Amino acid sequence: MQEAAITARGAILTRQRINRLALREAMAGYFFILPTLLSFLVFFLIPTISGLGMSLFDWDFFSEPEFVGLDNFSELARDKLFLRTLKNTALFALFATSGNVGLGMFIAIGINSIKWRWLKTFLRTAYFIPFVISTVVVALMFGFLLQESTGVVNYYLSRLGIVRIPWLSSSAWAFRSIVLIDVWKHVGFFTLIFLAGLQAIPSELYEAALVDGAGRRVRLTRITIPLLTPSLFFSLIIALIGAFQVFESMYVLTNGGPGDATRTVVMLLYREAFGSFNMGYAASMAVLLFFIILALTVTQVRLGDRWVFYR
Amino acid sequence: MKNIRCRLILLFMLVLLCATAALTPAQDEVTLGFVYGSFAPQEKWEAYFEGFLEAHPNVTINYIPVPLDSWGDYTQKIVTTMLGGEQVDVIWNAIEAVPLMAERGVLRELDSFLESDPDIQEFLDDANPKLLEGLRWKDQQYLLPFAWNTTLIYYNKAVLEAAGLPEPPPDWTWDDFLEYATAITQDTDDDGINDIWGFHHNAWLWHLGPWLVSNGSFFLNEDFTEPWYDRPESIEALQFARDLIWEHGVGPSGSFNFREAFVAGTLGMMIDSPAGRQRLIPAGMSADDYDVVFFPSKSGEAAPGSQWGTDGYGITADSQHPDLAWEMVKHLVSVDVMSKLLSGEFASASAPARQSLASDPVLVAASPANYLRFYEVLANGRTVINAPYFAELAEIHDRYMSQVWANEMSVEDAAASIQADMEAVIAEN
Repeated sequence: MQEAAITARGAILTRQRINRLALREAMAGYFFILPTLLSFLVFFLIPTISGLGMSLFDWDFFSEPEFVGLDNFSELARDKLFLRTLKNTALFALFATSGNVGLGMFIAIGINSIKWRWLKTFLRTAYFIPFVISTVVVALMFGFLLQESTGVVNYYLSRLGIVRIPWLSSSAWAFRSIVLIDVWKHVGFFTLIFLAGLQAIPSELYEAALVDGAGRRVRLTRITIPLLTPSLFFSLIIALIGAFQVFESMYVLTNGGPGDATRTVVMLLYREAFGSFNMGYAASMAVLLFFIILALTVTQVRLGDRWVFYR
Repeated sequence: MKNIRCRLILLFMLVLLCATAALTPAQDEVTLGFVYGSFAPQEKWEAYFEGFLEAHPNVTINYIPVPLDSWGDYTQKIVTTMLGGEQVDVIWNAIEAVPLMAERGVLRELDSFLESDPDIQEFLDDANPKLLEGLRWKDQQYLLPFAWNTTLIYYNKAVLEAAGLPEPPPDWTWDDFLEYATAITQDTDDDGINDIWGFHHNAWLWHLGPWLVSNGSFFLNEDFTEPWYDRPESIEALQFARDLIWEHGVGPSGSFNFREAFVAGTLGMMIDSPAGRQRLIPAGMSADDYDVVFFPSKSGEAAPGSQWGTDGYGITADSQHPDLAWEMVKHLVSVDVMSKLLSGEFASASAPARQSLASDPVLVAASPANYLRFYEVLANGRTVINAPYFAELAEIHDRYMSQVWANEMSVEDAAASIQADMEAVIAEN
């Protein structure tokens, strides 16, 4: 029995033949994942490693790179503009993630409770459409809508007797406007994730709760939300990663202004890399951002064990 | 088995041979990479090459569009494109980019061509010497001027007439200007919101420069090594410009589609360049509907001034076909091609660099009555900021002046911050 195995049909296979079959199977597997593996290598792994290496050099694209060790990182710690953009990015991530995930969950619960199927489908599609529109197009569209003197939004607000709001031209409002636009664009995606999570909750649980006399609020807090925690967990991670990489909407709408009120780390990174050609310094920002996102994700995963309920 | 393998190898080699043969161009066929601003569609740029391709049938042009948000951004995108491996031979770019591209070794100096090619003398004699000089860096020519721009105040004649105002005099003062802007600004439906604005300007360098020049100052000194934001004349001019919006309420705050408002008659005066007519004509405005006037000065006695910039064509340092690229540059600055600027129907409607075209009937017909005022301010104006660290300086200006325009920072504080930050950038470079 050491040299051979018996197949279901009783045929005897030698170990050599088994190895050959296993190898062929493995090769076929690798062949199928080859395109994904190659794109992962070319577009993710190699650039990531290059970025890590680049962050240790002073390089302006034109001359020979000069090794500077961790100098770029120590300069980052002293760079007031970088710290300001880091704060902006963190605040944006906090508000945009809360808005997207929180609102997405409640919209999904609302849509799920609608009995008319056609309305459900209509609302689901309506909320999802902004997600498939290019961020640049969304930003340009809101740029017109939110103009202070001639924008459509302020026009109707003034008709209601509300003073014109400097949506994009004041530091405080520009930041809020961009968070609102981000939520408008992305909330449909998270609504869809939560709708999928809601479909997976067995109806028997609600039926049993009804028999036990549980009201709507109890059913929401004791069944729906706990069983939505896997979707919530996934959404939080995705939303947070996306929010830390925000770029297009701010670049198009405010170009980081007024002042630096809406400048994020990725905007500063872009300017340093392709504006001032400080490739090493820009790479150190990218590396730091990578580790911040990694740390937040790992923390979320660790904490997730405490509050995520898997059935 | 061996037989099949041999056949496969032979087939592979045959395919490789065919592919190589197909990809290898005939010896005399040349492709020249041409970088242009994608604000105008490719066919409008292609029109510039009529005649050149007929004279050089072996040449194919690889048109490389680059988005143009600002000259700094455009230049950075060109450099990134080239570093990405794209073969570029001829570049269309502006005066702001010359120092950066020359310092980085992106552009080839043109003096050797200018000295050895007698055909170019005719162009050198005709081109405005200020423009030629502006496109030099450290005593070497890097671009040949094609078109240029400066800014004046455009006024909508019908709006002024409705406000009971005569056409503004060329030697007007800040007080005169404010009277005009105040008279034009109106809340026609009494809802507390202005429906017609007197004037509009942004915090951009391009919009604020003329206010400084007409008050005897500028953003920086002549060689861009010393910021002038702390000069009393600069602060005074910036304060006046800011007060038009926040003190006198004659200009809208925030983003504003000023050209559309100007055409619609809801804006009386705006800042624009000779190229502005290209946007007004398709909107239904004829050259008789508006005119241009100098920026006012505080006392009305200063010589009319503004800032100007120019664009042109140059050859990259790593062009594989510099001689052909030179032929292309010569063609692009020829009378035939430059004449295409005049009607405003092609890629650009900026003023032509050739002095002989300034009074061309086509240009006169497409321009407002006082069009030659653009040429007058060219003589007295300052060049736009052109230093290798142009993008950094522009960003510093935008950072603080955008806060002034949002009424979140005083002009004095902004000027002091800009002064300090610009000094740091200049010292670093």
